Amino acid sequence: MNAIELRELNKSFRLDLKVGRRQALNSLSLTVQPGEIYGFLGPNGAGKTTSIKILVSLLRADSGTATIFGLDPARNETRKRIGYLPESPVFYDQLTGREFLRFCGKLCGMRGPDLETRSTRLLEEVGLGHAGDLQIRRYSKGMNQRVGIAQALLHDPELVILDEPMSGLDPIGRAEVRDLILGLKKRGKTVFFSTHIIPDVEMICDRIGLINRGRMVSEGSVSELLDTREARPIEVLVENVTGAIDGALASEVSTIGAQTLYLVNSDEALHRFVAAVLERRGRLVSVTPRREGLENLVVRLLEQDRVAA
Amino acid sequence: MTAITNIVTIAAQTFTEARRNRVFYSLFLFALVVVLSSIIFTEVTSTTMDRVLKDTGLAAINVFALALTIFAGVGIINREIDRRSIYTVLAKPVSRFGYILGKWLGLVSIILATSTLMFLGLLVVMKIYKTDIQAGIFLGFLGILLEVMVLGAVAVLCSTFTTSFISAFICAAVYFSGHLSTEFLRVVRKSEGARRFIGEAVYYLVPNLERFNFKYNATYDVTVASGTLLAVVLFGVAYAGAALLAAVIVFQRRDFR
Repeated sequence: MNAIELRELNKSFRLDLKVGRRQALNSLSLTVQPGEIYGFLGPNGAGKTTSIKILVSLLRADSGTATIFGLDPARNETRKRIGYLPESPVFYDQLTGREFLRFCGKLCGMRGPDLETRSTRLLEEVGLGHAGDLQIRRYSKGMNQRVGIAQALLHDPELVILDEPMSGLDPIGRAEVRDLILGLKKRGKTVFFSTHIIPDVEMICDRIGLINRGRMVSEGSVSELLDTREARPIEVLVENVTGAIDGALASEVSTIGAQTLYLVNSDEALHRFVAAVLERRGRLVSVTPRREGLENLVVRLLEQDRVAA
Repeated sequence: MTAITNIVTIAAQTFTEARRNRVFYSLFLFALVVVLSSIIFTEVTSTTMDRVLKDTGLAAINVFALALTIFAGVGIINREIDRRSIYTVLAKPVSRFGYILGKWLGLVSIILATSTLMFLGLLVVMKIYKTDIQAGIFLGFLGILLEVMVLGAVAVLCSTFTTSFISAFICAAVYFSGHLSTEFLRVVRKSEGARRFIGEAVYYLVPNLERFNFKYNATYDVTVASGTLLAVVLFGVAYAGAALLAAVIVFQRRDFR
């Protein structure tokens, strides 16, 4: 059974009379396997938070289905199995961090010494051991984020849904959250998180989904996405080529002495480019598939999606 | 059982949040000063000392309870939606019905607790001035609590669908029209057709808050038949229940963008 399954999800919002409705999700489908870390990527307004809110039952989809472990997210039994961190979270600022965790724990059915022990341990784990008895209104943005992560993990849920968990954290905090997510995976938990910080995704995710304008643009493991043919431009170093080569076949990157480095975008273009080089009595020095970084890949896929639209 | 625990947990959190708010302390101190200042009125009154004491004291408690209901109640839901603190709570295994009921209970509890403290202060002052403490004064206080319970439910209902400003406006309108509803009905019944129909509909929609006004009974120690009192209490509970039910229906349908 999938930990998360979204099938043909549609959601639109009414903006105003002039603009009418805006389609936030457009037949979005995705699945997350149990025990997986799934990175949910996309530009601002792509529909990431909308999808997450449907998963935790804060929004209702216009059509399509969302299930968690095969169950309806609106049911309390389902939500007992989820830990959720909202985007830029705001909590009850008159409560202390410890009181807030106690409050959240009670809502999840926790009681007594178990709740106290777990709250203390989580406050330590997220680096708030010293600030547990401080009112949340005195917390910095990063501390707020940390207490938010603590409340999401408090009842030891099977599925943790984090909306931009790295936002507001310094590099050390980000590294700590990455370790925390990896620790959850080791304990067999499923983690679904949205982020803008692509290096984090590259480092820890088993699979990623890239959405734009409410649609899935690309989905797969990081290596699968990076190894797709379209994602691998090829660097070709040639020398002693007489005459110019058609710019449609390859783009010239640099020239040093008699050697010129070209970038070719596909295997088909490579065949024609090599033929063109040999025709011009040139010599092939090297052919190297370039491994594109995830950040570049994401930018390129989003650009392709924009052009296609 | 879990549902009840959740309601109590949310009520306790609402109580704590309100108790720690500085505005709450300012309001409470102000009202306490007004209750104690009834001593001054008592000192300058020669013949009706005990009546002035009860009148001023109960009026201060009433104003405080009303101000706190409007201050804390009108934004009790929409403020949490605006600040997004509601997301964390509703993503937990909490029903929306439980959330609304917990919020209302928390609101009523904080008003009940503080009003009771002020009422005890009033009783102490009455004791100092050797004024007879009779059933009437308790009746007056009960009326205030019933009114707060109803207005609190109206405030919660408004805050599920509109802004704090509009909620405050609606609550104030309900308060004043609720106290003038008998006069309003008299005027409406002189008109005819659609105007009369709409007027009567408004009359039945707005709670008749004069039913909770036992200040006369408090001042002159006039008792009320137990049947009448029970009917008033039931009316208050039914009206608050209906307003909360409407709040739950509105809230169940809400999306949190």
